[in-house]
Amino acid sequence: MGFAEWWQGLQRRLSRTTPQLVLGHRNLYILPSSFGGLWLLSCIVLYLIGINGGSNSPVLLAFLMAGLLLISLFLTHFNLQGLKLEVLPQRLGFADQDQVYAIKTISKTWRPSIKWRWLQPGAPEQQLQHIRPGHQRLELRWHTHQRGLHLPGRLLIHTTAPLGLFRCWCYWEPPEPIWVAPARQRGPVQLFASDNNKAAQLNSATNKRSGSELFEELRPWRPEEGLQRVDWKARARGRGWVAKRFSDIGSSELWIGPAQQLPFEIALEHLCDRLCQETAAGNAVGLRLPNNTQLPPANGHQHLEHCLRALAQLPLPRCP
Amino acid sequence: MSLAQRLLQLALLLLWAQLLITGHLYPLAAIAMPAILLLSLKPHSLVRSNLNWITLACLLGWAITAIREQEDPTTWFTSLVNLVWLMASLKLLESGHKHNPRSAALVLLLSIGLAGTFNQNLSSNLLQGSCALLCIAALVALEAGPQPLADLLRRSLTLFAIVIPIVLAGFLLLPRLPALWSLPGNRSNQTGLSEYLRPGELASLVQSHGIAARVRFRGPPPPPERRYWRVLVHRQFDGYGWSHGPSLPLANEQAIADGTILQQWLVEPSQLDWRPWSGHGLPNTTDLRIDSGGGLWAGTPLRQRGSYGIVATGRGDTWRKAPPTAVDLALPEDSNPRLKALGNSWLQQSVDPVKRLEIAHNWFNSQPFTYTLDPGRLPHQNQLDAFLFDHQRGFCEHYAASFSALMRATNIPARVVVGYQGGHWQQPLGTDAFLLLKNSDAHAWSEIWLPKRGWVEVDPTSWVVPERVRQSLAASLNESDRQLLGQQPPAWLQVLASQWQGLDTHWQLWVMQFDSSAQERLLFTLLHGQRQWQGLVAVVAIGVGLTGAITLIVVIDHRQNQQDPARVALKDCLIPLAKLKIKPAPGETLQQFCKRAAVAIPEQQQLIERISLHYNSYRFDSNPSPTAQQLRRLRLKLRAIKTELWYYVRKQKGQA
Repeated sequence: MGFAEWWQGLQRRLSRTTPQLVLGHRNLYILPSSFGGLWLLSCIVLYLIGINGGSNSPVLLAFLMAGLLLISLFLTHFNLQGLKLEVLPQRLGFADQDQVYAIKTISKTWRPSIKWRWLQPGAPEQQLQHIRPGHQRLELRWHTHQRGLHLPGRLLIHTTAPLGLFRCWCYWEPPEPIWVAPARQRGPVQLFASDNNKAAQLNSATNKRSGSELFEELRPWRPEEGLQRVDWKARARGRGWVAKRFSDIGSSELWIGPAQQLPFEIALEHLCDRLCQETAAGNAVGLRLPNNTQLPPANGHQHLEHCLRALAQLPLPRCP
Repeated sequence: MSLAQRLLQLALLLLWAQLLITGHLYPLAAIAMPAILLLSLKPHSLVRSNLNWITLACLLGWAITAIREQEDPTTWFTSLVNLVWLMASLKLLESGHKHNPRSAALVLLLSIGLAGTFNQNLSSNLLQGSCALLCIAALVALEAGPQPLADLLRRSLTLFAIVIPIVLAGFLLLPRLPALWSLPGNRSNQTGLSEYLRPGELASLVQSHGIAARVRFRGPPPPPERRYWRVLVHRQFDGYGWSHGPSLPLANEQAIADGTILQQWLVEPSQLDWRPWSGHGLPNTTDLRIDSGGGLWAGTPLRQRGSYGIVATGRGDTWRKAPPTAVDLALPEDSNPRLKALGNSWLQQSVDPVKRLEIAHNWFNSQPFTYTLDPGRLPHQNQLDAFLFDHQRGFCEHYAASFSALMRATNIPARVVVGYQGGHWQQPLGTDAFLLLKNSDAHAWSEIWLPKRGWVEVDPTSWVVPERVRQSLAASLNESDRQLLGQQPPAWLQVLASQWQGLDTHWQLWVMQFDSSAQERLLFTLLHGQRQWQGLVAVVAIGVGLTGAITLIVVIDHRQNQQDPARVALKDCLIPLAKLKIKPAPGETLQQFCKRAAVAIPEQQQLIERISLHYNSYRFDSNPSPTAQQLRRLRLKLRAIKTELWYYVRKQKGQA
């Protein structure tokens, strides 16, 4: 067994997997930091200079520094000791995007300079927080490339306050999983005719299309429509501010699914983006997935979350 | 630029100022340190890209200076310390560009400690302590992030304060290691007496007001005319100057460690192997011995301030009975013929040495001698003749030297003693009085051998100018000479200086001079001789200090949390509503309370809702945590609302 494996195994043994964690003697570890080591060395040097130079000023400074070292052993431990951590329900996030993992801290005291780091490759850098007394919601940045239902992994919580002489830390594996939808990427999706009019399937690449909607007419532009709808060509030709108007296929109900001609994961990413766009526009949209999952057209964020979860839990393609 | 860096810059500035005043900086470091400090104030890309060159230039400059200084081998330590001071400045400059200032703080702390090896007076120690406090504050600022300076200093001072009992326990009780090697001492702050007494030397020394020593007495001090503090006893006369001569065998005097201390001396660094004392009693340490000439011999120059006690013996001073040798009668054959002739004439007049002494006294009184700081140059050849019979203008060393030579010419063994006479009696408030000896109190007198009495002090200067001994040097000089002594500071400043000297003396005696022998005495008192418990007592004391410190921190933290400033501001803002009997109910949130209050006072609905809005926005919108500026804004907003509410409440009550 290599050192790295042994170290990871030790960290696993040291970490706690509970929805709530109260930091205390049983899960906090403390050792001098490298700066603390240099500090101790400086104390010794000053003491030797003092006694050999027959001067008490360096001796006093050496004792002062040694006293601070001794005190900061406790102060650094106190900075984490008694801090209560709780997992909160997690919001769905997207792959390849920084997302937040929410936890709650409950503290009786002000705790400066608490640092957090996810122990996983590619995790965002260390995050610094000052914990104030009472309840506080913390949003820790978290990152993954893979859609699905993920456990965030081991979280290293550590501090060196107040003087940086000791490093006190603990490991925690928050058990609350986080749903990760496919990354958002703009692109074609497969559109299905509404069940009401039994229209035929339409291909996503038609001349009249902008995105997945059918171009219908031009009409005067209003600022609340946003700049995306402006017909810039018409504007350039001096026809004034006009907006393109698109219509849904046949009816207000839109069914979409992954484009079949594209690789499956990329098709899902397009689908994910399209779902978000339609929800933002207030359109009802239904989802048809290859595993016969069908989510009837609806709008609103709850529906969007159901759709995105459905996308997230589709089976991952097998590695060749 | 972060607050931590600003604090470190201030610490470096204080350190530089202190080193500059006390003169331990090489010229290069004296210029480079503030220059680097200025560069660090405004980080510039040009500096960042040339950091290595700046470091190299500093190192090169330092190396050249250090090589030049190496003519005196004892300066290697000063060179090394100057390098550390330079490195501290460079580290600070570097930390402004790429590195965490933590290491700069540590190097600065080391620099402060090294500065302490040179300067141990109270003012220097206070400056060093301030620098250390700033470094600690910088480290706290680095960890705790942006915060008001007052809060930061309060936290740092608290840390400082709670650690003091531990420092004291360690300092007083932990066993002291013996010195493993000897660091070369401090040369620039030494008193001015030298091994060889040249005519005119003391006259220039007394124009310096540097402190030479401080003495505390058990009981009242001796009267001014008996305040003679001997340092060097010169027996060998070469026709021009006086020197100590071949070393005399040391008298068989044992130091008394536990006698009653009559005088407690605190002496400034000196290049002499001899220490000042009154000539009566015995030293309380084995490091000092009395030689047969009555000098207090230490064997090594005094590199740092030193202290020792003189204890009563209850018997006479042995050195006074040490018989003279041929050296004490020797006069160079081919010098000062007129002096010898005068001495011979006195010898013809009486065989009784006391009588001859009386004749000398009368002769000195009959001559128009002038006591002056500016005696003019005497010829190298027969200079005592020139002084006694031609110029007749001189300072104390002229009178002492010529009188001793005259006594030898009359066949009375004589020698010149150099030391201090008089001193300034200081009575600081709240502390013990002490006698302050300055370089301006340097004095020379004679000692002659009288067969029945042994070595007797005779001060021919006092024959010429009795005011010198009874009053002060200034009182004995004419107006033009007095100006050479410099302007006396105003009376109020002298009083302040006296108080400060008193504090400094106590600091030196109780803290800076606390060494292994002082520790032994303390432990003997504490443990009644049970030294085997020293380790346990030290550990217990440190443990108690640590427990006290931790308890104090917990209590302070608890109080601070209770006094959450935002909550205090909110409570204050709700006082006008309480006057209308609208108070928060148990378990009610602020939002709920504000809604209830708005229903009760519909005309102030918007104002009341703003309380909840501002407070919750401060509490929950600040990421990662509210800043001091946000707190200030919240306070201002809540205060404004409170003012409007008060106005409403008064109006309501007025209507009622």
